[in-house]
Parts: sequence; structure tokens; C-alpha cells
Amino acid sequence: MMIFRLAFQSLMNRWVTACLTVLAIALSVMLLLGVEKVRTGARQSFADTISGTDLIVGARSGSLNLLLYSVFRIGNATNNVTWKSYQDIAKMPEVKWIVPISLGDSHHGFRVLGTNGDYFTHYKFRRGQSMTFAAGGPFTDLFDAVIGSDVADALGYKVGDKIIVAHGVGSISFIEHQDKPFRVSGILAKTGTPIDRTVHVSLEAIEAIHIDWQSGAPVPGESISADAVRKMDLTPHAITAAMVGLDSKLATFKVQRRINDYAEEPLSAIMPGVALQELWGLIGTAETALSVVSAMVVATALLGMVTMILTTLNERRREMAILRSVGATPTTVLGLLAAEGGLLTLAGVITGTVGLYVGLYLARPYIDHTYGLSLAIDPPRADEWLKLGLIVAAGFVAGLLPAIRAYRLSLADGMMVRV
Amino acid sequence: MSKVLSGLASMAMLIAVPAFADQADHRQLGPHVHGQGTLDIAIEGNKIEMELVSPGMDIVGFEHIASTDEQKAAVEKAKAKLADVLAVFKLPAAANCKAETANVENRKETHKPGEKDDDDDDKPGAPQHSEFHATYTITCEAPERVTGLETVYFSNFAGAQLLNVNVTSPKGQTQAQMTRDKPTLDLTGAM
Repeated sequence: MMIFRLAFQSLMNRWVTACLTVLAIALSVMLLLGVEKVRTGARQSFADTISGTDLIVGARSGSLNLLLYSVFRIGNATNNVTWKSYQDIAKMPEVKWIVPISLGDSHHGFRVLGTNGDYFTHYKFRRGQSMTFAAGGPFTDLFDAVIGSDVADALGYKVGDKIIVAHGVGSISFIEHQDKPFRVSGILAKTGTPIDRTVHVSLEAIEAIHIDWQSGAPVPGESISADAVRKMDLTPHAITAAMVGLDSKLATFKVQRRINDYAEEPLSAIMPGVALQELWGLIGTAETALSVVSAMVVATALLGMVTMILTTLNERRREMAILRSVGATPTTVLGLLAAEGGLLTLAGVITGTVGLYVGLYLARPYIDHTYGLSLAIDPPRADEWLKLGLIVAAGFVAGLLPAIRAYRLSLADGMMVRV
Repeated sequence: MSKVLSGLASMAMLIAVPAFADQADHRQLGPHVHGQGTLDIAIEGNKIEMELVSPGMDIVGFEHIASTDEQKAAVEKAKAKLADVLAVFKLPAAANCKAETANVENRKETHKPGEKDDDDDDKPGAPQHSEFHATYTITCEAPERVTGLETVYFSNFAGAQLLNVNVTSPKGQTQAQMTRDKPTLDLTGAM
């Protein structure tokens, strides 16, 4: 204990450098733990993109492809699903609800998604959270659109504004559905999911804006007015995918198999939670990179500490000599310097951990709102405690390096220090 | 007369169309990878439903129709082993689980569950793939104690290397893998 008190007093004597060293270690520990928090937060937010949906049904393809285009609006469908198949699935006794999705058009680079009103009640994210409207409400008219919060922010739309949907999905489009503008009926609150970047319209509207087109282009002189189209049969012929909710989770695999074996049309039914995990497995390598970088930062901070102790060693030869003169053995000197390294690291680890939690508490609402990333404030897990413990141990070991040098010096110098 | 004829014709079509749809040869095959099986687990309330699909290669070491007495015995023995679900997939004793139903089939991959095997490609030695399909229903008195699962599947069946596990429960869906080196499954998030 005596050694620790001596080490502490000696550090107090050089408090500026000591504080800076503690700060460097604290920052590196904050980074190490912070990266871990962001990593688990990102993983959770990713897994929370869709919840409450038991199956996603689309044309026969890989589960990742189907997940990417139906949930993340990345890439395109391999094929469409006919309306007949959609109705057949809807009729299955185990199916509680089914929501159609139709993709293919865009608005200033944001995807337009055709669906029905059930979408807003059944699509859940973040462990069963429902979408809420920041302004306005769901569709009430054929040409109503509900936009995500990013769309509203980026394009400055308010409820009641008129928007024109472009054909195709490029950010610059040459063919627009100019004759049939949409009215913004609602703006959704921020979700942190791809919904924020989507323009939602009704399936019938998707059908309506293409009704006077042929082979994917408008026919000159043959346009049907927006009013005339309201009187026509707007039942869609095909959709891109459908989200399915079941009465019981026990039926999930049965229904999935039945859809995959559906003889009339090659379909794929995927479990979104499983596909999300597969996808994370692919992009999750970035996680490892982050962890490696933060471990390097910790190593750098420890190296800085060793340098600090080593450089002051020369100035402290007299201190060592005095200690020796009052009866300290060279081993005591060794212990003293090792304790110094340990104490500095311990102080750094404690400051860093406390700092991280204070920072998390303060920054959490902002991060959640701006990036849709919900960071959990929970005590360090077992492996994080282990990492912290390892850093303190590494501090002691690093302290040994200057300690051994001091031990040698104190043996050689004896009482006669030639400064 | 022509009316009667057209009436007959349309009736004939009404009958013929569904018949034709039935006859349409619908061909598709699921994946079949030796060494890899799939275990689907659905949990709700105090009920757990499991379905295991494994290539015959993993379970008995061959996939043709069992012809010798020895092969037939091997298939029967494997079926009996797989039928005792709680011995193959051990759930925590505290959960007090009981197997309600267990149904094990060994069938060709081209066949649907329960389909009669009357093809003529069953000659001994004919190249083909077969799979073991097992479905189980389990009830547990304390389902919240089902925190994990341990399996002797890999030590029982020498050809098995990997089980892809899909889990769905009211808490969400997850995917995991059980291997020869790690024959356990964590279910803490699912209950």
C-alpha cells in the first residue's frame, strides 16, 4: 500500500503531465467502449428495420435480394407477383393480414411505393413500434401521397403540396406522370428506416397513372384525364411483393413452404428477421474493422503513457536516489514505477467509462433523432468489463518498462547522481 | 343443335381446364447439401413446433432405397432415434417439456410429405437423393425456462456437420447454426 501512496504523491507532484496522460487513456477507453455501443446500436437498429411481419412474399429469388428490394428499396425485383397469386395467399386460412407493395416509380430519386392503407397499421419497426404521422394522415383520395420524413425534409414539402411522380427509378427522369399530380396527404414521423425515404401512394393510383400508357411510355393524344380514370377499374394486375402477418407463429414454416411450393407461380416467401441476420452477416465485417481501430487507439494511448514515464525518468533520478537513501530497495523502486503506470491507467479507465455514459446520456436523443440510431444505456457487459480489466493490467505491464530501467539506474547510480 | 354443342363444349372446357392444371407437370426441387440439415423452430405460448430436414447421407450414410436387411435396419434405427425428439434435442429440464407428436419420414427429395412412392426409379443402386423429414410438437409447462437447446444429433449421426436453425417466436425471428463443435443453441432472445 505504501508503494501506491508514494506513487500517487509522486504523480500529484507532476499533475499536469499526469492529467494529460489520464485524459489520453480516458479518451481511448471512451472510443473503445463507444465503438462497441455504436456497433450494437447499429446492429439493433438494423434488425429493427422491420418487425411484426412474419413473411415477405415476392417472385422466386434469393432471400437477400427479396429483402433488399422490398424493405430497403435497393435493387429491383426479378419478377412481379400476379394479383391472382396475391389473392390466393390472402385466402390462406393462417394468414391474418397481407399488405401489397408495388415499386417502380420515383420522385426526385426517392422511391414511390404503391400499397394500401393497411401498410400504415401493419408495418412495424423497432420491436413492434407503429408508424406515426408527424402531419396529416393516410390516403383519403385516389391521388393522395404519404411521404417519409427525409423526403419532406429534403424537398421541403408540406401537407397539401402537389407532387409529380416520375416513371422509373433514376434521380433524373425524362418521363413524368405530369397529367396526374399527387397531393401530399400526410408526412410520417422519423423512423430511422427506409420508410423515411419513401413516397407512399395507393396501389390504385399506381395503376391509374399508367393506365393510358403502352409499353412503358405515354401514347401521344391518348391521355385519359385524372377525373376519367377515377371511374375505371383500377384493380392492379401485378404487385412487386407482399408482407404477410400470420395468426400464429407456429404456422410460419408451414405457410412459407406452401408459398414456396405454390405450383401456379414461382414465388419465394422469406422470413424477414432471418434474412436481416444473413445480410448483417455480410456487412458485419465492418464491425470487426471498427473494433480493431479502437483497440489500436488504446494501444497508442498506453504507449504514450510509457513514453511520458520514461522521459521523466531522467529528471527523477534524484527522487529515486533519495528513496534509496531512506532505505528503499531497488525492488521498491521497480514497484513504484509499475504502480504509477497502473494508477494512471486505472484513473484513465474510470474517467473514460464515466465520461462515455455521461456523453451517451446527453447525446442519445440527438443521435436517435438525426441518425435513427437508438443507443442503449446499459452497464458494461462481461466482455467489456474484461476489456477494461485487461487495459488496467496492460497499464501495469507497460509501467514495468520504465520501472526496469529505473531499477537498473538506481542500482548503478547509488547515492552519487551526476546530473 | 349448335347451341347444345357449344353448351357441351363449354361444359367440357369447364371440366377440362382444372384437370389440365392438375396434369401440368410442376417440377421443382429444394436445395440438398450433404452434411447440412435444417431445423425450423416455431415457438408460441407453451407450444414448440420443430421440423428437421436432413439429407439421408447425414443420417444413414446412403440415399438410395434401402435394399439389404442391414440398410433397412439402419433406416429404421435412425427413424426411431429421430422420433425421440427430446433425447435428440435436449431442452432445459426446468421447462418441463413433453413431446406431443413426432413424425419421421424418409423420402426422396422429389416427393412431397405423405406422397405415395410408386416411381419406377427405385431400382437398387439407382442414383437419387433422399431426405429425412421429422416434425415434432412439444408442449412445455414453463416455456419461459426454455433458454437454450443442446443436441446429440451430431454424435448420433456421423455424416451430419451442420444444422441451419431458423427460429420464430412472438419476440422475433432469428437464425443460428449448430455444428459438431458447437452443438448448442441460445434461445434466450426468443422466449
